Amino acid sequence: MEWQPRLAAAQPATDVAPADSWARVRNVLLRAVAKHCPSDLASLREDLVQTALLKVLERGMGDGGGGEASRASYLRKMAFTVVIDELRRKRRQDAQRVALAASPESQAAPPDVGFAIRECLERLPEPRRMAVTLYLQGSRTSETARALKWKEKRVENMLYRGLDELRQCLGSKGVE
Amino acid sequence: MSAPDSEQLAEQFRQTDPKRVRTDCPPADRIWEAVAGELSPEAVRQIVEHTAQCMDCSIAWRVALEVGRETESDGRVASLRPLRSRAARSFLFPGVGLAAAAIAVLLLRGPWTHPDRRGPVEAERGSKRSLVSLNAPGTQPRNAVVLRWSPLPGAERYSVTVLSSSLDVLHRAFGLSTTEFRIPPESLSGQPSPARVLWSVEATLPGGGVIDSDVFTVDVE
Repeated sequence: MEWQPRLAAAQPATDVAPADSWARVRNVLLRAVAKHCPSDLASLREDLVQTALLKVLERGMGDGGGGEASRASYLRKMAFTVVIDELRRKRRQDAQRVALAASPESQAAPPDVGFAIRECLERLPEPRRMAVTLYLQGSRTSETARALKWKEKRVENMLYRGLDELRQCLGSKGVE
Repeated sequence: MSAPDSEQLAEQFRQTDPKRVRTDCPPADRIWEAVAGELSPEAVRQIVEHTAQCMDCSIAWRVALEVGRETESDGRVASLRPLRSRAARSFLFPGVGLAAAAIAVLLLRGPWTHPDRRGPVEAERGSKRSLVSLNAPGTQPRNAVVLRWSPLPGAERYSVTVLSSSLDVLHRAFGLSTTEFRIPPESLSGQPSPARVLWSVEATLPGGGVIDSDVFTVDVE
């Protein structure tokens, strides 16, 4: 990748975050991508994160959203955004390759457990569906409460009932 | 016949299908904001519904969660650092200095805070930066790369961080009393020739406040 920083050698970068913040964000993103991405993408995490951060650097930090948000927070958000864009782009490329290579038989393969879970999720009443979906995504009770602006007690109730219904639904589908 | 337990459910839910890729995904920054609790409940609801059916956005949600947790974790550790102010530790705005463990100290610095709860030290960060590079344009010889910056009135000492263009920390120097620093040549030994490195400087004030410079670049033979 061509390295074209937007800064001249002796010119201060008036709109980027301190160097340590970059190193920090890089490490955090590397760990997150390694943990949550499919193995084929996780193996590319160095390239993905590197590409993303360089894009952020080239693009510049702007004023961090009206100049009020801290630069480091803004850097994390920007870096996350570019990493996810890179992941999506890579996934779409892979999907195209898979689709081209797949035989009609493999495309007609029976739905997996993940598919059944999603089908059952759709049948849940909305509040329970929200709580269970976020639980399955890995959110803690406090994180779900923050995202949905609920009380934690409500999250727990919706999650308890929702998981129970989900299991019943999966059981009716013969999912073990 | 028993249904899967919660952990199994979550694991199976997260398994990706390479053939299932959607093109109507919300922008990544919206997912970030949803995780951070910055969107309306209705907006979050739409995104959550989408992530339930979209592998990529499911991954994005989990990565955002993870980054937020790491940030919060930094905030807790950073409270051990006396020079840094303690402030809000809300999600994505750690609000405190980073680092305490030895490795973290080498890599991290800087209290970052929610804008609504900035203390005096953070207020300094938001003010006009006074630390600027005084390096002349041009390439410097590899064995004598000198970084120069403007003095900051009242600063007690300076710290310098040097990064590679791939953002690896090459060198850190602490407790500098002058406004220039020569990068040890051995720190650059792994860099290609020519190379461009990034650097920044941090000034420590008498009250413990810290002012960061922006990031500068220097070309090395």
